[in-house]
Amino acid sequence: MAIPPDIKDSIAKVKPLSQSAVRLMSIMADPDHTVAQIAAVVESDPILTGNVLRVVNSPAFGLRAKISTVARAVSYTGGNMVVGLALHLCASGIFNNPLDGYESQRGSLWRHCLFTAIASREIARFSGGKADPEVAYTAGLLHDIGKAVMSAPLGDSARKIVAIADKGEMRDFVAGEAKAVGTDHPEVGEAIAMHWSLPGPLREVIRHHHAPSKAKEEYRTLVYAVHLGDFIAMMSGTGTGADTMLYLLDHDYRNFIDVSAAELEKVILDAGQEYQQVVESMFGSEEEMQ
Amino acid sequence: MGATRTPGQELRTLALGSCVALIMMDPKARCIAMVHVVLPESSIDPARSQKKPGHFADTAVPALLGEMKKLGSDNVGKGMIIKLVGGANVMDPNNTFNIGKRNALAIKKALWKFGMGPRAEDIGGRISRSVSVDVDTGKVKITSPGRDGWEL
Ligand SMILES: [Fe+2]
Ligand SMILES: [Fe+2]
Repeated sequence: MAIPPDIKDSIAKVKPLSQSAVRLMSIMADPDHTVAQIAAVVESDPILTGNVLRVVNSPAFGLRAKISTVARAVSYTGGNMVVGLALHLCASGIFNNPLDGYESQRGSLWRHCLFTAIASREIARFSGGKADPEVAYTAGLLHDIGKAVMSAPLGDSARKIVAIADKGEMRDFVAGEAKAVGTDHPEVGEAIAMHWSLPGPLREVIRHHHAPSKAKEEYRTLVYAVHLGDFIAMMSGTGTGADTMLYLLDHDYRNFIDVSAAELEKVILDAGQEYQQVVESMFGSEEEMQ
Repeated sequence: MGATRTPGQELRTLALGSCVALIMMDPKARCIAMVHVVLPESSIDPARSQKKPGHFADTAVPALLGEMKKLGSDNVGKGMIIKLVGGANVMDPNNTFNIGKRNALAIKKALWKFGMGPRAEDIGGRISRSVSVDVDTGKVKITSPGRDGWEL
């Protein structure tokens, strides 16, 4: 497939990431990173500083004493959450617009990506050290960025794709996208990743998260981790929109990720709880899921 | 988990994914209750099942019956109308990710212990559903993005 010219134009117009987000992602990709490195980036960015302090002092975090220094705040939130806040701030046009092409409401893509990030990080712990959990988190946050650009060209195709898929006549939503638009959200996502100069492992996840066996061998386990994290998010009721659940699980995952049914259930519980806490700390409390 | 007998009210869930909404309606006591079941067995996390019995199929059934009882329903058995919605399934030959299917089965097993079973169900498939139940009419409305809504 090649990306149609008008979609290429939209990709070229995607706002660049902030310096802070780029630096934080590269720090997190180094397994030996320190809290001090993360804090230094946050301190140089007043808006991000405000966000980190607001989140750490939110009732959802449940800390008794007020935290007023960035270093302490980061030691509570962890680097992952700081990356998430930085991306949410600078790529709000990607994550927060309603995506009509997916019948997805404002903020749904962000929530889906956040849940996927948390679940992918937990699943990466079952990779025998082959997928770095922190990188899996960042990759999970970014895996579906292509949807933000695909939404407009999809127009009202989603209903048709869903109807055909429900009859069992469409492999998955990716195939539907390709048929309707001539490209799909993983391919468009990869182009955005290149536009943003994202590092290789993240690009590979974005490109192959629905077909992990096609990923480069060195990153394949990481791609499988996010492939499974994506399913866990959808199974937990946190999909993007009309495409939710209309994807195929790659049954070869177990050659890369050794997770039992009981372990998966634990991941679902823990990821759900952490997701709820992060959402509440970012947006305030909402209707609690029982 | 929610229950009501207040006329004009409705109970609703968020998107279910592989979770299953277990709905109970007592036409005599005119009350309804619904719980969002996440996983089949409470043995996976007994501490959590104490705080949130509704999360697990085996503890959700007695907990929901307890809610119904508080509203005046003593209709344990055939008189209780039970419906199941949700449980979107993932095909997995390893029996690991097919939690939707296992949730629905575990709920049925837990219901059998009380001599009960679902009168209607809309479960499985590659569909993430949201549900609302109306206390006045007992109507169960299902929505799913990309599809027209339907009733059960
Ligand atoms: Fe995707
Ligand atoms: Fe996704």
